[in-house]
Amino acid sequence: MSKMKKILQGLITLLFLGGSLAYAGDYTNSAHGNSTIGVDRSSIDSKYSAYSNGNCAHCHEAHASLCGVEPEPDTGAVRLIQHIVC
Amino acid sequence: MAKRVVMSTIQRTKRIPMKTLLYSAVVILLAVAASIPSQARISKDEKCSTCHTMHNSQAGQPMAQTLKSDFSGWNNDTTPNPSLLMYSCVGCHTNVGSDATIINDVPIVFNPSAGPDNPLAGGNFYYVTQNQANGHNVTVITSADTNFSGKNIPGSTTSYSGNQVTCAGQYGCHGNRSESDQLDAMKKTHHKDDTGGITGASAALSYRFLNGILGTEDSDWEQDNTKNSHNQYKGGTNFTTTSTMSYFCAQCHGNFHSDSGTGTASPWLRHPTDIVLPSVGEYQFYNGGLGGTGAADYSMIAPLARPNLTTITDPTKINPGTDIVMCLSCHRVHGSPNYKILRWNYKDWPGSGSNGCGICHTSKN
Repeated sequence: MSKMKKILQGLITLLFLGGSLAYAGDYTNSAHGNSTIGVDRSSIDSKYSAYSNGNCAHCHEAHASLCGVEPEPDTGAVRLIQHIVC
Repeated sequence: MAKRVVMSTIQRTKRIPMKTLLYSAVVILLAVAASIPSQARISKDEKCSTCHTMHNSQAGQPMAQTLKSDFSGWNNDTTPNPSLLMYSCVGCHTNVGSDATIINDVPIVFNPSAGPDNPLAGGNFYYVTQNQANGHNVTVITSADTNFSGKNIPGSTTSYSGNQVTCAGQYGCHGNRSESDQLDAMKKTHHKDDTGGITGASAALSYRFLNGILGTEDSDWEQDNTKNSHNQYKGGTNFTTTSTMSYFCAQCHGNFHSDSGTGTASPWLRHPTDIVLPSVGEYQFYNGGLGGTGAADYSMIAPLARPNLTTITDPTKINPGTDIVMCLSCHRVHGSPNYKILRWNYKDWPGSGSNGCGICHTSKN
């Protein structure tokens, strides 16, 4: 019985390990990071249509500059890259 | 008999005066020293005629060459070039025939027919001929980037429309940037003896002829793309060190490398450069590292710069808490298959593409 228990535990562990491989990472499993329904800012600024749904760029402007201008929403001042509100 | 010969040899040896022995030793040492060649970027075995022409005339034909507009080959040029050169910068560093990226020790940065399988560290200008957002839009290779018409240089308050970027000189990257002519800007660079090291004292003694910039140059320009042999880039811990790679980029793209442009601490205004990769949070696990300040493998996808090029204990490793994020951690310089000259296909991720950001931002996968 004890042996059976160990085998069962092992199988469950393997199941969880396999499960983690079958999924993507934390971010890509989030609502924002989904490649189909994730964040998409191209309706605010068409420059973002170049980026995949869920791409970091839709919320974080790496340089506050795309094609020589700050993408919309542009209030005239560079915002914190951690919190650009879509 | 044999014993007599041995004894005789020993006696003869004993008779050689010490002064003569010393003199001989010194002569031998000097001869050895003289046989060690001085070293310039151009090998001393390279023929002068590979790059230069004495009279721009051979068998009644001009020797100077210009790249055909469709990049299929060369046109004779009856106008001689300065410094008796046969080609411009692009001419020497282009390979119209194949995707080879090193020919006779010359690094090739433009393979017009296709993106090379083994590009060099700076990337390849082929990609900017396919998409103007995939490389620096250097004259001769392509026209000015229309995305920037009437706008400023990215990260700058200077208009882009005035002058297109060149390889060298005032509007370029390499050589003496106070010279308006590209070839003048590169004078005394390729032939300079740099056995004393890259000191940044002149364009000739700077990393890849980027005036004032320090670094260690990989002998095959990272063609083999391995952590075991690669360039080493100088980084700084603030925006004032003028010998760093990121400082160099900032000479045109200044807002991306300044207190006012990026801020000085998290939360940043723009992605910081010349900032130490933290040894805490997600960053401590850079490229699969085990955490803290422990060493991780150097990533050829997202490399880091060094605060001190002379104290690198293991070039194949990166230490969070010490090594430094730079512009080239994310971007190549000449051109890449990826939008905005990135080192990986960022814009298509997470749909497809790849998440090179995750080398540092290890929790954003």
